[in-house]
Amino acid sequence: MAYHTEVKVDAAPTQDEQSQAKKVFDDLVAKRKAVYMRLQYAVINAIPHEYASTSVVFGEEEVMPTPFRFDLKIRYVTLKDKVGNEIYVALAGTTGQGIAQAAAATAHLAAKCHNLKKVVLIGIAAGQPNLSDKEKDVRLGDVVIGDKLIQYDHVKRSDGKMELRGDNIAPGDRELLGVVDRLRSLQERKGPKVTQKPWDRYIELGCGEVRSAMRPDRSRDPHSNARKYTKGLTYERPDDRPFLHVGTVGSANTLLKDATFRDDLNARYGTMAYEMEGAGVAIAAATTGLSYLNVRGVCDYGDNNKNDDWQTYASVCAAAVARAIIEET
Amino acid sequence: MYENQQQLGLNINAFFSSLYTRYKGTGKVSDTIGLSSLTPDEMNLHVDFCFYIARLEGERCAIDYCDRLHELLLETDQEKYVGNVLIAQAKLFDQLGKAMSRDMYALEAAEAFVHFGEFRAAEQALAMVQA
Repeated sequence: MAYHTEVKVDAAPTQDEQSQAKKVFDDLVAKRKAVYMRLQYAVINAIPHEYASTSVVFGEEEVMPTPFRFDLKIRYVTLKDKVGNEIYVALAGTTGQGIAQAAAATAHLAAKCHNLKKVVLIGIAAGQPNLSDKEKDVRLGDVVIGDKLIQYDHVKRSDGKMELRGDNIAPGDRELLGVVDRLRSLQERKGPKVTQKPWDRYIELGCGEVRSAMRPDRSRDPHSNARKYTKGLTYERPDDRPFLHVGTVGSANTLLKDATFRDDLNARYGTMAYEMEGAGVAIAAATTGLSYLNVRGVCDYGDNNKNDDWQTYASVCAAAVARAIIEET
Repeated sequence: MYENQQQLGLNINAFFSSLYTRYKGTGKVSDTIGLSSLTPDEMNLHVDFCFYIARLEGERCAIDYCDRLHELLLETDQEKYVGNVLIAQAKLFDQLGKAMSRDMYALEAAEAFVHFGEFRAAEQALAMVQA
């Protein structure tokens, strides 16, 4: 009997197979771009209760698939603009406190979501009180949106003199700041049409579903009885709900509990709020071709009376205002 | 009642029912069909089982099963089947009306199929992408 063996050799791809492969590759590239270019916004938080507030306020999350890794998942939510168009927003999760941590998280996000355009940083901050000028008084529960940002611990120190080096950071996204101005204009209006602000229902939602998120009693604001305004007396603002401010935010790797230093920063640079991540997000965003917006709920005054009573409510307020901004675009 | 029984055999509902009881009990995908060195037929059975779960408990439970299956495939070096899981999830998201997730999962399924030279399957996955 003749010995017979069959040798199997991988055949070279036929022309049909080659053209099918090329068509699939081309289609894959085109559709990848079409799908992911719809994901243009991302939000980023530093600490868990900020993320909890964002998660509740922004609604049902979905996970973006990663075929060959299971440890690099990014979530996203679907919002709707006024005319019902869907807006997709990536949720980066928590970065941890600190400028370097925030920068690393922003860079990671940019690497994962190639078509991202804007990053919105949502969190808490210390506010700059002004007990004599009602218009400039930033109160607990208010929301400060940064149009400029300084890194106040980036300094040159020589012979007892300090010179700020962290004042060349890119400002907030112009388009989003324009939207913020539109929303702030609602604060200038009166009447039943504008009684309910776009962020109010999201605050209500957050307060209902995040632990310890109810607005603390007025007596829990250490300045509630210390305000003796001599300026801006005719300025109308609510006492029991958040008010939106726009101004310079100070960022540093320093937990601020020093009223004298805070007031000095305010006098020099006009800072309205103080936090610990903005500079990292701003620098990483600029490096990766993104723009950013810094939205901060005020939870303390950066002085020795600092406590955690207002933190969760302030987180909810920041998330609610951030959602209203994105939906208004 | 699972509708694919003509193809899979008349007692498939009883089989899936017992699998589901085991899966419910432990929450482990490995307690269902088994995962070491899956054949293509066994992989298809996993996918059919996830649609059985969808009918029984809803699409979200089935998507969760697929997530666990996906993770186990990566852990057991069976990446060649990842595309099958992702395309099943794309179909489940489509049933839920989640267009963006449908498109993302179908796209990544196509990517996984291309990675293993399965261009026909990749073509079918890409046809699901509506963006």
